[in-house]
Amino acid sequence: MTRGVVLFAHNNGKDDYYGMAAATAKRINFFLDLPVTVITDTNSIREIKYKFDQTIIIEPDTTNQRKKSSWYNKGRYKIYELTPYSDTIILDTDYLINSTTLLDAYKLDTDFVCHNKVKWLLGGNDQEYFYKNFISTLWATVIRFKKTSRTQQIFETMGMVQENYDHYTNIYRFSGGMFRNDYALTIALKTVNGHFTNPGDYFPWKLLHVPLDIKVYRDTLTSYTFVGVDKKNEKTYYLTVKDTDFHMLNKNNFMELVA
Amino acid sequence: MDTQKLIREAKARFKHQENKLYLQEKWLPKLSFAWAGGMWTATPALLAFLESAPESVILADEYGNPINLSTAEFKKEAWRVYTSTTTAWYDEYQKTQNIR
Repeated sequence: MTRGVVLFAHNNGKDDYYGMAAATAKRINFFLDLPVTVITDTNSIREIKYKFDQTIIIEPDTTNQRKKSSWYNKGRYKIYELTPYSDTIILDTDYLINSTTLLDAYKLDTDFVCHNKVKWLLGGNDQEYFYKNFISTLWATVIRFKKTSRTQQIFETMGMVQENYDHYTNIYRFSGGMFRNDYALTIALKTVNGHFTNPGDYFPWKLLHVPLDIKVYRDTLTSYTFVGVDKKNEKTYYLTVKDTDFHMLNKNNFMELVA
Repeated sequence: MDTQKLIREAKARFKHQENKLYLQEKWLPKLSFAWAGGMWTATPALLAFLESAPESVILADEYGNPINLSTAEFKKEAWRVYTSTTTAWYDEYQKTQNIR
């Protein structure tokens, strides 16, 4: 049994995902003591001091658009074939590790686990739904899986959803255009589980997101202050968090924190 | 920039309700623990049940799997998880109570 973390990092001309992956990998090594493999492309890779456990080069799918820029997030389903580990954690590169919490994922007796619940720190809606608010969205930000026939089916189904995204957009009635791995994962897991819910497929803790309009300041290695403005009364509020992992939507702010 | 100075200058207020929810999200999941091939949550109800349980007992874990447990050892572990988690939660909560 080999354990490790895999990060996808395809630069899009705006954000340096490869640099973000290196910063995240250092924190994974420090807090989790796990090796990190990066899956990237020849245009993103560059000379850096950090040495990944393995570097896997693939051709990115550049067809996804977000806010007039490209978002090379397609192809995550290929992780099943590409991972060099038999027990893998796959993370978004902008997931800030500040604790050993993810090691608890290995205590879960399952071959697949992802987040089904989120909390937006200092604001935002807590949960997203689609199909007339009937289906609660799962999150592809953090996934741990072992190589089994079931997990192979899950990732192959994610691939099928990606390849036929317009079709699934019509069936499940979510906003089309921009491909989201979260939607592909939600549909794939539901399909493979025969549209039943398996509680063992979910982390027993929530995924913490930081909204775009919240500014995060680093106080110590693992302590942060979140500052935001309440749009209703225009007052400024703050919150401090410590020893807590979180997912940052603001890539520039992320790079400031890990610099 | 020093964060405390920034907060003073922005006249930012500490969001206590959000802090309470954040600490809940941080510490409640840590009451979960793996034992005897099952997943458990060290709740007051579980601890109370174990006080009156016989030497060995069959209990369904978080995922509904029935598991035969040695009560004394399981109780000791459940109390250890409960005490360490709630103590850390309480300490962190107390530290934030006087922040304005």
